[in-house]
Amino acid sequence: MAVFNGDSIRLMRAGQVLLDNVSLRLQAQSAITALVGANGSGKSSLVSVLAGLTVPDTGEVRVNGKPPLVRQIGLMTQKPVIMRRSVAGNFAYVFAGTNLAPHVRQARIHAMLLSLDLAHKASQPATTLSVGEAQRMALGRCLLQQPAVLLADEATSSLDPASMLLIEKIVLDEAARGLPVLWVSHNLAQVQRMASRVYFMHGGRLAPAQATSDFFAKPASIEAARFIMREKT
Amino acid sequence: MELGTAIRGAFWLLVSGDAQLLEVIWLSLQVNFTAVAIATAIGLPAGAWLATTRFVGRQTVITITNALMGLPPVVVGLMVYMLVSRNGVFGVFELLYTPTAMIIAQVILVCPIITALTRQGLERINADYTPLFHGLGVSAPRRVATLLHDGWLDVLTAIFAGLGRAMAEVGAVMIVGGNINHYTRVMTTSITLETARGELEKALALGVVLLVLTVLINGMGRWLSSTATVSA
Repeated sequence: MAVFNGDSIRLMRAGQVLLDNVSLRLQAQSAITALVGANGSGKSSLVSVLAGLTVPDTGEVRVNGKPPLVRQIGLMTQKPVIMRRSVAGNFAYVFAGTNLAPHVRQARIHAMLLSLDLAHKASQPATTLSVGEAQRMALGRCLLQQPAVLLADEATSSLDPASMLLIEKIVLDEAARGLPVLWVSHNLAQVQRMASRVYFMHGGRLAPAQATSDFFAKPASIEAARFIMREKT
Repeated sequence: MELGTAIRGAFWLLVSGDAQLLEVIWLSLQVNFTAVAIATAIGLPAGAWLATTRFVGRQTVITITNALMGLPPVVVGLMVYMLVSRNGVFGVFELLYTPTAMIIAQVILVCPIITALTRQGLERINADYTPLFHGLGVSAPRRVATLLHDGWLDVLTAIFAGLGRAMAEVGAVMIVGGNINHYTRVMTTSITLETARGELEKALALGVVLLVLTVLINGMGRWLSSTATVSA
C-alpha cells in the first residue's frame, strides 16, 4: 500500500508565494482525501507540483519514502488529454514501451472499456467523444498505468450528472482497493459523498486535514467556515 | 498572336501530348518532388525537435525559421549560384546549370516552410500531451514519434505547402538552372521564355498544367487542414 507525501513545498512565481510550506500525506487507509479551497488558493499549483509538472522552489514529493518513479502518479485534469487516435488507441498508448504481453494488454484494455461503458466506442476517434466520455477515457488511461496514487483536479466539474456519478463510482472502487486518491473539487456535496478526509487550502497554505464530517460540522478556521458557507449558498 | 488562337493552340498541344511539353512537365515534377522529399527529410525532424525541445535561443531559432519562409527566391538563386559556380566553394562539383543545382535551391526555399509549419502544428499537440507524456515517462524520441503519428495531418499540410511553393518557383531555378532546353527547362522557366518569345500557345499550355497542379496541391492542403481542425 502506497504512502504519498508532499513535504514542505514552497513555490514562488513572479515574486508571489503560490504555495507556502505545504505538506500533505495520502495513504491507502485514508481512502479518498479531498482538497478544497477558493479559486486562486493554490490547489491547482499544488497538484501540478505533486504530479511533477512544476518544480517547487523547496520541498519534495515522495512515494513510499522515495522520489516518485515513472507511472507512479496518475493525473486527471478538468480538461482531459485526448490523443488523436481511437479510444482503444488511447488506452494502448499506456502500454507502448512496456514488456507486457499483447494478449494481457488487450485483456486489460477490454476490461477497462467495459467498466467505463466505452466498449461500443473503442474504435471511434477519441476527439469525437463527448466531454463526459472523454473524461471517462482519461480516467481509464490513468488507471491502466496502475499508478501508486491518483490526483484528480476538478475532474468532474464540467460533466453531466450521469458521467460524474460513473466516475465517482469507479474512483471510490479504486480507493476501496487501496489506491490513495487526492480529489480536488468545488462540489462540496460530492466531497461529502466521496472523501473521508478534507484538506482546506487558503492563500497558498494548507490547513491540517480534518475528517470530512468534522470539516463540515466544525471547520478549523474562519476561512474554511466562510468557504463552506459561500459554496453552499 | 490573337488570344483565341493561342488558347486553341495550347489546347491542341495538351491533347496531342507534345513531346517537348511532356519533357518539361516531367523534369519539373522530378525536380520539385525530389526537392520536397529532401526538404521533408530535413524539415520534419527539425520541426518536431523544435516543437518538443526547450533550449536557450529556441525563440530566436523559431523567429529565424519563420522569417526564412519568406526568402526571396532570386536571393536564394544568387547564393546557390555563388556557391556552385566555378569559383564558388562547391565549384569543383560542376553543379551550375544542372537539375541538381535547381534541387539545392528548391530545398533551401522549401525547408523553412516545412520546418516552421511542422513546428507550429506539433507544438500545439505537444502542449496538450505534455501531462500524459510526463505521467508515462515518455522518452524524447518516442514523443517525437507520437507527435508525428498523431499530427500527421499537420505534417501533410506542411509538406503540401512546401510543394506549392516549389511548383510556383521561377527565380532561383532560372538563375542556377539556366533554363537549358532538354536539360534544365522546367514549367515556370519555360513559361517565362516562351512568353518573351511570343510563343503564347506553349506558354499557355504549360500555364494551364501548372495552374491545375498548383490548385490541386493547395486544395489538398486546405482540405487536409480543415479536416484536422474539425477532428481536433
